[in-house]
Amino acid sequence: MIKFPYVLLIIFILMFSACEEIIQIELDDGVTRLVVEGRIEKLKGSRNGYQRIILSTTDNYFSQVSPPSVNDAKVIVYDDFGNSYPFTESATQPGVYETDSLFAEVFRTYTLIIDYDGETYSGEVRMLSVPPIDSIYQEFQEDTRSFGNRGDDSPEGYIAMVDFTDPAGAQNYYQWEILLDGEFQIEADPANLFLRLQNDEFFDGQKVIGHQPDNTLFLDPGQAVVIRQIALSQLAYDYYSLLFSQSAERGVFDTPPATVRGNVQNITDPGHYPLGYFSAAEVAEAYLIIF
Amino acid sequence: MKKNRKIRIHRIYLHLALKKSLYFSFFSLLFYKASTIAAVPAEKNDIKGYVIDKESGEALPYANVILSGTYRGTATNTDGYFVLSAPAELCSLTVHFIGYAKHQVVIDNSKKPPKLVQSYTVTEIESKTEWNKKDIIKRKAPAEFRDDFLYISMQSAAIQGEEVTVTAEKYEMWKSSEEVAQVTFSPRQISALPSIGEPDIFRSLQLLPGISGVSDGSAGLYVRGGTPDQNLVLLDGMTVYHVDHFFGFFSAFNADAIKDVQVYKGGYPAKYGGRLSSVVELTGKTGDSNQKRLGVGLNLMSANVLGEVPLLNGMGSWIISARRSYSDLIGSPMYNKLFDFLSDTEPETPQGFGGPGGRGVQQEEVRPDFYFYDLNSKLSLLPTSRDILALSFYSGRDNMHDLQEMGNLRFGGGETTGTRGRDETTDWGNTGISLKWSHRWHDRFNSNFLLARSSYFSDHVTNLSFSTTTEDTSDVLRGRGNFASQENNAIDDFSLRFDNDWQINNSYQLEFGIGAKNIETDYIATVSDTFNVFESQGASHQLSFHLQSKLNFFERLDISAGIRSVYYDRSASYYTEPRLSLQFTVTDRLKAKAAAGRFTQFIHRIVNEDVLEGSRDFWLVADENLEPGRAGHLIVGLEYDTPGYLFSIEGYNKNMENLLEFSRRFQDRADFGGLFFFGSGVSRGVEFLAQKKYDAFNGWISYTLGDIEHKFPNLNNGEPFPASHERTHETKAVGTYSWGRWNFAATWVFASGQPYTAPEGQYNLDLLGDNTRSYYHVSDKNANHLPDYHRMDISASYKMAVKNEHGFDGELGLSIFNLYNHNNVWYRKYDLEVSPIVITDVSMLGITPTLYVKVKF
Repeated sequence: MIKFPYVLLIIFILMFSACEEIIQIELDDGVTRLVVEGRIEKLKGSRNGYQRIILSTTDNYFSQVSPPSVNDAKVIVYDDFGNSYPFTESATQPGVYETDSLFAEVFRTYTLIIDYDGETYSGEVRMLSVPPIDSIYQEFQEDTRSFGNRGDDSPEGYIAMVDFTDPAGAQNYYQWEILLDGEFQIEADPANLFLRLQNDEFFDGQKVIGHQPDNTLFLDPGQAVVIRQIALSQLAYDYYSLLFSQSAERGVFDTPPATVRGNVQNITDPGHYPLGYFSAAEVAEAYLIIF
Repeated sequence: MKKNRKIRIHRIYLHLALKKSLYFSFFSLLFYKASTIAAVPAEKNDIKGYVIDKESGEALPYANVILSGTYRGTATNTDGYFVLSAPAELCSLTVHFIGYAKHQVVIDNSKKPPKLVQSYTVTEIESKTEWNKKDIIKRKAPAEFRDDFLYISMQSAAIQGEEVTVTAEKYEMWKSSEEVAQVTFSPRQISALPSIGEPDIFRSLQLLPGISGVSDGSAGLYVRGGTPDQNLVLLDGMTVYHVDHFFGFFSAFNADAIKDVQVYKGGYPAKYGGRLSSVVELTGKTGDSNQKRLGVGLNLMSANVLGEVPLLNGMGSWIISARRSYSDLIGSPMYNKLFDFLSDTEPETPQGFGGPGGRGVQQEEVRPDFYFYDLNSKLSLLPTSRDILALSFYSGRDNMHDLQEMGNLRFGGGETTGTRGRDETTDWGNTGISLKWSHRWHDRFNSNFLLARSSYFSDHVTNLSFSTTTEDTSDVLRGRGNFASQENNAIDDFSLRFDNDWQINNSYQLEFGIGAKNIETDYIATVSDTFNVFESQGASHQLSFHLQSKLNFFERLDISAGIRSVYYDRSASYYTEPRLSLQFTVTDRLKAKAAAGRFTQFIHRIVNEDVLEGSRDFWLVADENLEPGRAGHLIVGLEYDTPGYLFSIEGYNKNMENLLEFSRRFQDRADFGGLFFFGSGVSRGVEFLAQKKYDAFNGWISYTLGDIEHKFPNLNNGEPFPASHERTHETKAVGTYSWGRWNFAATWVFASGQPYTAPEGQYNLDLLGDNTRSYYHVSDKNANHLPDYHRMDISASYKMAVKNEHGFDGELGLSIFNLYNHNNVWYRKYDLEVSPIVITDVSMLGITPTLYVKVKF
């Protein structure tokens, strides 16, 4: 017979000696893709708007420098009358393409054509109309639930809010921006998604009173606030929502996050699709100095 | 003279049948009166009887009984009963049951009742002189007529009491059965295969062509591109939902308590329904009806005991087997190793609590208390020669309790001290009971009445608590917090079945039955006792009807056509599932097979990918929103069977609709409830197999080429992507060698790396208006592949037998898993918190030796 205990002993020793390994590996660089950030803007009640297309590329995620901007692209926007508006790269900001000849109009369709690195990219949007901000005002509030923008334990101060009237019958999608002394507020964090993006599912056709684009932004007298109300298409709304949910501070994850694909296509090689979004938006702006 | 006449008859019938078959629609096949064809002039008598195990008297189901010299035969039913009509002359029956010696009986069938002339086992061993020829050894073996029933006692290859007959003889571990994609697997033989811990049925099934285990830590079966939840697992008629222990390392069935395993890799017959991919039907042992037996087994993880008691002078028997892990009672290095594998413990980087600046961080490495057990019990009674009653009970449970207390934690340079506690309990299991009554109304007509209930539960409770004290020069601040989350899932499955089997004659068999099923599922996820993250409760009722007819034409062509119709109340719809299976015997060695069918699944399993939370996958019944899954199979195959070898090719195509993916990540685009995505899939492939069936050295080599393409409108921009369990190439080689009391085995598995999704690059955007933000671009879904998987396992086992009045049998086995310690990548982990980011490969099990011992009195 086999000497059983000895066999067992040997096996136990073997068991301890085998251990799990976690090793570092090296991956090939991923495919480099064009990143498009384009917005055709028109201020409500004005012909003006800031038109710019920002181009960059994706970068190997091992690198610590910010992804390179794209400098030698040909960028043209066409409207549905066949007019073309060439965008030229800004002398001061690399990768930012601008024009001052385009005065956008609502319900017009704009097509973006980019020629870059031997490939042609195209994206199309229709500029939607946004309802005006009926009024902007302030209200004193205190909040015992959360920390405010100043890191107070129980913050108190003035909250800026707006009234507006949603057009009845149509599906409307909104984005709000709030600027404090010229600085954008509201962190692009998934928790702030509903502050920034909303559809009119629950207020279709109604007058919305006291909408607070940021209910934790407590203001002091003398501070200047700009609230921008922006019309989005459903596609843009979906894109921004997804982008928001991807904007969380990331930790270790095993299942990687989602690919967020926008509305710009690569015509030459559809598989080598670009990232980013080309949007056209009418913007209603209102301005308030806290008193 | 005689031979000539026979050939002429065949020709006539061929002509007739071809003509007729043109006119027969699918449904008329079902009711086709085979007597119009199969009328063979000679006088015939029925031979009926039972195929049983010689040692225990246990009935052997699905044994093949063939009228020697013809292709005509039958298979025993689950009670081991068969009936066959044979010419009223001297004739011989060959009985084949996997894991047992081939048995031949010669009967004088001209007498009434028939008389037994001779009975012997036939052992084929490799010819010493001629290749691919057999030397045949015949030994006298028991068979007898009792009350007109022929009892054929089969001899197994296992050790047989005092005499050890294992020499160079070796019987198949599994064989491909009559129907295409059907495999009969012998639990008696699996102890020859390498294992982790102890011989395991599901782990062994993963070595068959077309069946994969996608992770080392899973006993789940991925059958031809299907997922484990798409397999219907039946144990004595009850549906088992919880098929594995220890997060999948072991299957939940004690191999010692199972006598037969039937696997349908697709295209399965109409009596089965409710799953998209496959059927695994396990028949529990009934126990020895001749003498009491006691067996005990021990391995590095668990211990088991098995008792068999004959009742009422052989009129019944009772078997009970129980198994429990002992890692919670005494330390088990095996458990520690497997647990570390599962929990992905990184010894080199203890993660501190408190983040940077934390000082004196204390982290204890605690392995939670864990146990699993299972219990099988079966009581069988034979009140009359026509009735069998069987009450079968199964209960299996896994429990993990993890309690961690950390004191004296210091943060923020030491002013803040704190404690942290974590109390986590995961508990899951399945209990089932079935009562089966089978009654033989007539020699050729059997009915089975089955009442089965199966309940599954999975509970997960986490309690996190912390308290902190901050001491400033002037002030003392105290903080306290608590976070609790809970997930519960339960299934209650109640089935009633009434199945009938009518063997009209040797060429025509009819199966029909009705069934009712009631499934209730309940899932609730709660955070801090108040907030319901997700809650779903559902009850469903199914009423089903099935009809299947098996026809044999000229002993060469078998057609099995069936239909299953199910009414499902949640969708208020009827689901009609036609099934068709063909086998054509071209020559005695070459067979062509094909099958097709439609299948529906009324319960979805929602997969939660975190590995340690394996049990937190949850089941929900299909309803108005989660539509029942549907699938269509098409299988064609060729089989070339020589005396010693089997070669086969099988191609399959499986279309699946209403597949479900669950994700908490992309809530805005989900199809339902913010969490569920619906899509469809196609799985295609070809399997090649070469098997050496007998002799001291035997085994098989298989190669599968397959792809699984999923298409979800709201995932991956609606473009098709490979399923994450796809293994394009898969090769398996299994060899066993027996030498006296020793048995050696080696297995090698190669599989191409599975697809995964990975971050591909980063980019900046300031579209959201605040600041320029960095985003990670992720590749298309499952666009990357992990490195190829391969591993070799070896094992040696030794059979003991002590020959005296307290004689016992025993077996001692040693296995080494992943012999050459290949670093197989389980998944790839990305740490994006640091820059540059860190990518690590998390490996599957390295070299793992295990040992078991089994003794039976």
